[in-house]
Amino acid sequence: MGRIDVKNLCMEYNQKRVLDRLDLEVLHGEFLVVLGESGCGKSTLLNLIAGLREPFSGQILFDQRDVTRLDVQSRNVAFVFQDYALYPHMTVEQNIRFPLENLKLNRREIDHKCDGILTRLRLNDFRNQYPNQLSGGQKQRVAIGRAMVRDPFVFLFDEPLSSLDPHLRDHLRLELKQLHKELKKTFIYVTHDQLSAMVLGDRVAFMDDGKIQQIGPPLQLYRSPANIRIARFFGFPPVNVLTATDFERLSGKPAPDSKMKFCIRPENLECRADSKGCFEVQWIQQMGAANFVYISVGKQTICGLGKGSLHKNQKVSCNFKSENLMIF
Amino acid sequence: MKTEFKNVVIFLGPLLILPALFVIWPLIELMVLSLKHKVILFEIDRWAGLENYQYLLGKDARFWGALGNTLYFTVCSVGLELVLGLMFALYLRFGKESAWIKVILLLPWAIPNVVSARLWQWMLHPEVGIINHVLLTLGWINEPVLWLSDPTLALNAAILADIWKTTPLITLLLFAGLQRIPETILSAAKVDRTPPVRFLFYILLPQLNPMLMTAMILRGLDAFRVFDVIYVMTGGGPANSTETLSIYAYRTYFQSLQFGYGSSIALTQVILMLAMTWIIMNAFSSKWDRS
Amino acid sequence: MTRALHAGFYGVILLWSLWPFIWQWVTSVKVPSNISRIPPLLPEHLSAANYSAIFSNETFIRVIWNSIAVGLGATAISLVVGAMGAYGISRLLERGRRWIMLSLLVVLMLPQVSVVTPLYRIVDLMGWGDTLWSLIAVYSIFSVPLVVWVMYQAYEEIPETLHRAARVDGSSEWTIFTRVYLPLGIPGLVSSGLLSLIFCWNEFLFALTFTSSYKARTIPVGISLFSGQYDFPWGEITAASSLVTFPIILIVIFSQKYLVRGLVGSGVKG
Repeated sequence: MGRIDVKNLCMEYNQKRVLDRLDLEVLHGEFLVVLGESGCGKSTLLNLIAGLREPFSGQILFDQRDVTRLDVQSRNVAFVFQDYALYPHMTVEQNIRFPLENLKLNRREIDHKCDGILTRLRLNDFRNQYPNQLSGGQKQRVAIGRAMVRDPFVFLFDEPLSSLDPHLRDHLRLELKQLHKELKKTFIYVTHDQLSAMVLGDRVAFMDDGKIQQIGPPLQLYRSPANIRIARFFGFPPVNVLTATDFERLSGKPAPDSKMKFCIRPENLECRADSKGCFEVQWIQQMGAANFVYISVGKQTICGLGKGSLHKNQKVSCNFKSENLMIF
Repeated sequence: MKTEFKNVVIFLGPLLILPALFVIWPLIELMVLSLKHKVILFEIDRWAGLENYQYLLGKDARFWGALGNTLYFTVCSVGLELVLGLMFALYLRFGKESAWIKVILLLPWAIPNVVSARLWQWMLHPEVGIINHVLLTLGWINEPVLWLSDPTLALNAAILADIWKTTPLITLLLFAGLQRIPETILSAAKVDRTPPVRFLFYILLPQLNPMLMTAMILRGLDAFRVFDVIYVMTGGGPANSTETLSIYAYRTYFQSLQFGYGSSIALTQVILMLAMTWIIMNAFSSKWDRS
Repeated sequence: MTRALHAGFYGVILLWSLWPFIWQWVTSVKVPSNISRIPPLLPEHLSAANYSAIFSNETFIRVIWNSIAVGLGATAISLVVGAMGAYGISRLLERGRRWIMLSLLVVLMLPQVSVVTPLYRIVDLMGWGDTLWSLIAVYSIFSVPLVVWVMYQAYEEIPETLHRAARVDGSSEWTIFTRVYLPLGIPGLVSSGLLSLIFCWNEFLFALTFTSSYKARTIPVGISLFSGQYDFPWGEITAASSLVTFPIILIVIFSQKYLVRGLVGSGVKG
């Protein structure tokens, strides 16, 4: 099994609270993405789960077993780092053997396990190459191979794809998802990239202010975010946030509450050419599959999905379905 | 937690114990000795309190002379080395660079001080020295110059030898510093059509500042304790005109065997050195801001 | 035009740096009786007389041997202590790094004369008077800070994630040090080892005061002690100097890259 419970976890650096009574349940075999802006404490959380640091207070349970005070060697976790952290002076094979040699297994067992991993990850042809001779995809496989070889309780990923170019990133995301299906292990993946979170996660946990703000399937966070920060974090172009007055201008209806904020995603706001429309196109962003138009509402510029052919300064009218409206 | 502490002890133990034993303890002993009258030859060994320091700072003209010589040596050699080194480094960076010039620059730095001192002593030999020979042949001087036995010249001759030996090191340091300045900044300055002098003073030198500071502090401290070159070339003479603090302390220890007073001189030198470092580091601390 | 300028500038650097070496060598191959005469500038014919005088002198060979033994011994000790210490500072300490590094710098820059008498007493207490051990011990102390500075720099350049990765892989600190940091730090070890060797090969004051016979004297002391009846025996001095500079020239030629890296590396971060 691979269930992890984090209870009431607190952590401080230099008297600054990084994690604030954080609770989190990770289910067996799920791919959980922890999403948040840099500096929100998500990497700290990962290091604490791994046992690389000791928490200030709180508990971490692996399958109900308290591991809070155990150090990293006794927890049997796998950690894949942002730069993969392959040992540059060791070949692919030596990298994968290294954790086994630390366990002081006998030679035959090491050979056997190592061969198994190399075959499984299609790394046999590269076994004698050094990390700097490998492509990005091969590096990721070696890093995962080095993690897999000990049959770990959980896989932890610290933004491993964030520094790669977009094409490679797409490819590696797919590979990672595939691998998760094969291994049937618990994966915890930390990132600040909402797209990775949407694509990879079975569930996404949004983290802010040292706490988990919302946790659920990616679409749930997208469609019904718990607060305005989460709403803003997902989607491109970003969500429109309107005051009550601007909302009345846009919809022509009275706002239900004058103190609330009204959010509508650009793709849910349809803008059609209409000579009697009360808004004017400021500029148009061509995205290929869709055109986004920017219009002025009050003092604000908001973004909507352009329907039909539009040009600058054209009059448009805007519509949206009330179920797509998010009010905070 | 226990294993962490154990690791710190294993890895840092030897590093911290060795200097403690061989540096801090000797310094404490030095302090104690400096408060004593101790002359081995006459078996004198008694407390003196601050008498040594009172004499040293108040009445000892020889100490002030040595301090003056040391400062003169430090300022002249480090100053000239920085100027020359900067010129060489600028040339290497923007004129022409090659790998073997580094080899040639490293050579004078790498040989023993004693060897270079003897070498310069030989070249400055009044009768058969190559330098006097060349100057005489060129007609620049009419009679041999007594480089090392003329009290007004001897210290300058030692400075010359020191400049020869350490300018290359400074050149290499500053050259490395110049290479670290991002190419984009240099290009931007070119695009802005910065005139050469402004380029040097407003672009290069501010960027080079950390390296200049490092070179200046390290070389300054090294020159402040100068011993080998002078001991070999002149031994502190003629007429104490080349006596530096290190030489004075050494002679007090090993020629007049006054261990108490020698220690006072040596400790004063250490304190001056620490004070100098502290002042320089603080004066430039904003620019020195790297951890 | 610019080519002529470059040639001129290079000529100046060359002459400035190399001329003393050339002159030393030229003097050393002159016939002894011709040395104290100028002109002739150059020797009429090459003479090995000065060199044979040196090699027939047993003490000089002993002195060279002493220097080699002291240099290798002290360098070995300071590399072990320094590499481990630098690893400890760079990866195990969270606070106090700056303080330790600065104190090491103070040790490195301490005037030798200030600790020479107390150290002499320690050496005497240990019964190491006039032995190579005294020099090995003292040189180790003073080259350890050098090694730490260079190695600290080298270890700081290794990504910190490697350290965490190795911990996750179940390694003890000792395994991480020997199997990851030590192999990756080899260029730094070469740099600092060479710097330490050159320091030991060149040191004068301790060697002068701790030794009283040729049993333990090193090259710089040996050269400083050459003396004659009226003037120094310049032929023998230049011959001996040429001999001891030779290995240094070789080291510099073949390891220029490492030396520059070590010097610059230890200098850059204050």
